[in-house]
Amino acid sequence: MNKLIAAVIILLLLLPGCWNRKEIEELAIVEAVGVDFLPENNNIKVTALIIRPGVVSGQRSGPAYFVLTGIGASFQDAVRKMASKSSRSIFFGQNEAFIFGEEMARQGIQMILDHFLRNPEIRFSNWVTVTEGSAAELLAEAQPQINQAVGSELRGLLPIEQTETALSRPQSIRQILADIASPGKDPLTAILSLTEEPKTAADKQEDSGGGGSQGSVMPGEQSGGEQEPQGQKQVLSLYGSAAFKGDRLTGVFNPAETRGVLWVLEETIRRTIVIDNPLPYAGTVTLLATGSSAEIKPIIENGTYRIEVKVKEKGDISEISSPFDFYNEQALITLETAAAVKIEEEVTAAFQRAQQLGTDVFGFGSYFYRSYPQQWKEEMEPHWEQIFSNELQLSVQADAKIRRTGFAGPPPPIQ
Amino acid sequence: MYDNGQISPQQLAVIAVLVPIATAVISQPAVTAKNAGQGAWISILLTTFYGLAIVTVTLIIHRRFPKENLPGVIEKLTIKPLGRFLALIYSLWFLHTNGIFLREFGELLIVGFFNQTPLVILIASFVSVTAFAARKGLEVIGKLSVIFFSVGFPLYFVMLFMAIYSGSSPENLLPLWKDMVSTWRGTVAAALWMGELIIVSFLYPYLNETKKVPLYILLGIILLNFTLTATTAASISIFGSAEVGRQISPGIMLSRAINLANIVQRLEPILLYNWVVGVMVKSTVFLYISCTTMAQSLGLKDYRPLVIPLSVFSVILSLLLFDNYPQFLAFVENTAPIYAGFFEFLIPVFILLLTVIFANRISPHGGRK
Repeated sequence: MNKLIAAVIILLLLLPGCWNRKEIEELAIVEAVGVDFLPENNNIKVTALIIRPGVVSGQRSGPAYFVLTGIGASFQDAVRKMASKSSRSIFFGQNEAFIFGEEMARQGIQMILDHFLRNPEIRFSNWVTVTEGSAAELLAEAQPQINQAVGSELRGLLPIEQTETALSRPQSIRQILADIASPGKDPLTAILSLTEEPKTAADKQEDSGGGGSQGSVMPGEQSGGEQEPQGQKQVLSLYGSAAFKGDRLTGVFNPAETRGVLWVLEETIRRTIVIDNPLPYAGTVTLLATGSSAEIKPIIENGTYRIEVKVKEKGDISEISSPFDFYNEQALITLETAAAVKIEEEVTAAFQRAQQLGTDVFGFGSYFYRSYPQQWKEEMEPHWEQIFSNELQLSVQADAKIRRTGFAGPPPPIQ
Repeated sequence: MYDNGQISPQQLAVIAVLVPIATAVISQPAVTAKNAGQGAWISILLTTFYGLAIVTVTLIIHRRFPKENLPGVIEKLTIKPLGRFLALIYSLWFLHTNGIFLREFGELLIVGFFNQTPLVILIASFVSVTAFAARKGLEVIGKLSVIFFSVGFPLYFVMLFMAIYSGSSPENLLPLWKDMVSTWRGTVAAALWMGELIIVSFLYPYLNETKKVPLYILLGIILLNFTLTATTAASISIFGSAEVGRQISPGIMLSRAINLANIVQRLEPILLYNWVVGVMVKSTVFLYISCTTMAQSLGLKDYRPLVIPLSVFSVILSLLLFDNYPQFLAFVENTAPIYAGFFEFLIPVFILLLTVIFANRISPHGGRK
């Protein structure tokens, strides 16, 4: 019995697993990471946005986050260099997004994504985005809005983009990796950029008030109000998407083209379609799509390759800027047709852009693989890029339906 | 034989499910998808027949000799030294296999969870637990596995469901298969895990009731294969077959892919529970069988004195077997199917033939005492 108790005590000392403990006070928690390529010496520059937990939780004042950079021959190397400037161990477990600089994305992101697979700290749900120019600059210059740190802004910004606006297409690490690996499909992900928004009076006051001394300076004593306003605020925004071929950035889809892709991929939720009033009045009718589906059919006929896409959309009328009587069934049908044409135009534009860039972001190749595995293996896969850019034909057919009109009837005629 | 404790057919079936599944959920999808592409789940479904064949062979042999394991049957059918030699061979094989998957277990724990812990600490502390359980006898192992099973299995399916719900594209599973040859090669690679059902033969003598064994084992195999097929299909639909074939451990990746509404994330603990507990049961069973067959081969009255030496030996073996992880992978993919197939399929079939041919000439009662 005594032996047993002794054994239990020894085991209790050995087994609790303090070996790999990570105390939160010893971690530098990263919220967003920028990755840039430095062509002059083929190095990688990693910029990490690290939060100060004390400030975020409101216990201390001062800036809520800071930025650390590291330059190295690989991602891991750069992170190690970065760690040499940090008093705490760099921790990626809470990271939200990776932002690849343009040059890095053109060089290929597979070599970086590879590390994400091997590093157990990094979650697959992290977003992968691309920015024009340098990611380091983007992270250094972006100013948070509602949240205290830019990383938390990203946490909200990217999912909202996915569900509400459909001007861009954020993708997670898992989705990007799957797209790169699967035959006949190329990734398309969001472009993150800075836009200028006006500064408010409160912003200006805080700027001149200085970092840590809000309480001690009386508002009346400040001279900031008389100074020239410090111009605009740089905030993060998503606009358009970056198209990859394999893992290399090849070009940009503007928001309309991105929406064209999203119709085909059935990834559109609650997006707006603005249509010129089909009745002879100047003005627009705005629809809010509530659901859409797409049917994709690959066809091989006498050596020609064709894709048939049928998009079905349902939407509500959400804004009418000039007289439009939707009780008139004929008018409603005209509106639906106009919406369908708009969708078809977007899909066609997206397809033309994709053909021009030679990247199959729709995954049409994978549809051919599923329906014609034999032909795909033998004749299509080796020169799919060629076929996609030059030979593939697309026929789009859209079908838009209007469901609801909100709480109001048709607007009254304006005298 | 060596154990006074006995297990019920249900417990045997649960052990038979846990033993292959413990390591299969971790690495089987990758090895299979590497060969069979998106048809990997078909390959795994096909291994059901392999498992059924092994169990059928075993059950036919043991219907004739209910109180013997495979070496014991040989002893009865031919001469005593041959049986003892076979017992030694099987003992070493179980020990070796134990060392192999302990190494995999330790390596993956380090990669995924305990980055700074030395391998020897992980494996040694783990084996000390299994040695303790193996010394306690089969009854303990049987009850242990039923408890773990009833907690872990529902959790595992919840995890699988959440992973699928977090974002999967079932069209990754189409077209149904790459081609016949690659699907067949996937089946050969995946059969490795199913072959471990041979443990049924070595635990058979300790059953307290044998009538319901075929039924429960059949149910076990169905559950086992359903789980493995579902895991592989889920992996492929989430990551795509190319990516799964590249992964070291699709099971861990599956748990990492879970993200429900940005709230439910990081559910590795569920996978860890199933994996650690599964490997514990598996390692305990392997150690137990290794010790009992070794005792049988040496003609000892008790297997317990062998537990500590053999468990220490298996720790050392697991540390020395491979220089690095790629070596381990190469072994599992290229060597192991043939190596294990010899012990799991060829020898049992050979013994079955001997049983059918010679059994009538030998006294009908197979019991030793």
